[in-house]
Amino acid sequence: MTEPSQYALLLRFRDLVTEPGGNIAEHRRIIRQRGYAWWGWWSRQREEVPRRVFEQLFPSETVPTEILLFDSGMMRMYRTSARKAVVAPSHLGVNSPEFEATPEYYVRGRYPAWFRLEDDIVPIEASSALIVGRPTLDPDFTSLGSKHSEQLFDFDALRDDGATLWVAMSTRS
Amino acid sequence: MKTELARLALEALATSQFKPFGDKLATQVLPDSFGILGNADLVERIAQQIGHSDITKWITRPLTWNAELYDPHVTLSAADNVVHLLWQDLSARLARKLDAVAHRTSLTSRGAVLCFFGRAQFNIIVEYTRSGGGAIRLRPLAALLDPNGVLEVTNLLDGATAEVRNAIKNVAFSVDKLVYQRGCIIHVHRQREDVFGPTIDTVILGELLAELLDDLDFERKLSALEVGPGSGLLSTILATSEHVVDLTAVDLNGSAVACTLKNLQINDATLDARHQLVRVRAERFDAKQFVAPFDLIVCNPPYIPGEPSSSSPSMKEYGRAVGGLDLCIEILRSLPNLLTPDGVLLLMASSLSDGEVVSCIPSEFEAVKALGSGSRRVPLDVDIVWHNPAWRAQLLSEQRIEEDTSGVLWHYLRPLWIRRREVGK
Repeated sequence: MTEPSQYALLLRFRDLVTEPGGNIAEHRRIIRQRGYAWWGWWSRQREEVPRRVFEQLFPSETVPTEILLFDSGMMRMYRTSARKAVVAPSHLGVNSPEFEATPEYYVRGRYPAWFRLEDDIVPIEASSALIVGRPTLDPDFTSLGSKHSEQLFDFDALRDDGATLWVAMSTRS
Repeated sequence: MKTELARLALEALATSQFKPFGDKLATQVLPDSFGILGNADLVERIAQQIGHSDITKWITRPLTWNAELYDPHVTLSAADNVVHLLWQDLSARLARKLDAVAHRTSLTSRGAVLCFFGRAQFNIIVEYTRSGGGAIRLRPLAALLDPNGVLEVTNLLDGATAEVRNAIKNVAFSVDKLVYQRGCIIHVHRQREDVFGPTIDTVILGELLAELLDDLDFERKLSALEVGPGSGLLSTILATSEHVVDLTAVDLNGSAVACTLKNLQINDATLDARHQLVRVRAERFDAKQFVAPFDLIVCNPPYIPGEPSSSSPSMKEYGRAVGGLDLCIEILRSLPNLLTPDGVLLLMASSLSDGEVVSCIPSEFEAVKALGSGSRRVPLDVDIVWHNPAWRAQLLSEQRIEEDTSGVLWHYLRPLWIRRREVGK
């Protein structure tokens, strides 16, 4: 069985309410100032919250999980890590746990999940990702322990996919 | 509306399907989210799941409001989720309202909102903190059942932690008085605005008004009059309702008119907002000034009998606001011309004077106690009565008020619905 640390959580985003590069710049600024920043997952309406997968990706606050952030506007990939996730108890979403550690442009929004990013966000040289599962759209994908086939998604495929969140192979493994 | 919401909450508790309940909460007009905790069946079922029946603790415990606790490993029970959804709905609405207040006033960066639900059965004090960029963080600081006033400091401080005690003291001394009821927020700057209320009387009337508006047929449109809006809570509730298409409010106090207008704007309930006509006028009430009768009239008039005898001009002004039955009697005598045939007056009355008030109701009208057979015992927080021994003794001897062992004076609020008698009765 592969340990969760061999997996990464890949989140797609786009700078719709900030200038190009603004999302990353703002989270990075807060991380440098406070040591961490909260990243809200902007899901699509038909995506389900993969609570079981989150439980396995974030088993405790001592184990960092690799977070890959894919900017579908700039077609760039970034890497950071998170030790804590917050999942909204209901479909209405939840506010950021700490607005002081959240960029102001979405601090008042309610999202299905938030991730506490704790490492500097760095760009990585990549043009694709090894996707293990699409848990928000695939209700059968609940366990990271079961055997999953890996699929190579290039940036175009990540941009055009119906999901905005994937389980990917860690770029460090 | 409230029954339907309670039914959906019960259904959510039974099935763990929260969407219908959450969706209904989010689409309420004149929302009274925590008011559903007046439903005994719902309270019993939530208590069974949570393990205790202290409603105030359900509201203030971190699991209800602190998102940091929502780890993926934490699964909330159905009851936890229902209470969380009530909080989520309240906090979403409050955040928007506080934003609107901050755009109109110089709101302090930290303070609290006094929120009321049910017939003022639940009081939740919500602390807010605004960041430099305008983000608002909210937390239910304390909750109280059946409060005696809009800020009942004594009971709130009783058993509170040091942090909560400090926060409550800050609320009491803050220049910003913020009251939230039925989706409306009222702001009063305690130093700059010389206005009355909102008081517990206003909050009780607000709920009665909202219940009336909730029960109206979808198509029913009303014209409404408020006499003496003070800080504007009742006018705002009226103007927020889609049933009220024409609202007039008159107050002798120019500062009250300005405050009412400000609060109508804060709540986006002003001119043309929904093809309404809203007039707020600084003038003495005079029934002859109105060209057409109203479907609904509301008034929280002075109800302390006997003219206060104070030589100080400011006390005389204050005395006019709280003492004497002239306004009440004038409204009642004007009712035949002031109310449409199906019209109704909601009038706050009190044990202080309800005998005199009822005797002034024109014979073709009848009064129904708005709180049913009950009444609400509240302190008489009127210092001109405390400081006038003769007046105070007279009110006590006539059993209009009561004095408890600690010297606090109490009276009973008995709001009335007054409408024309049905023909043949």
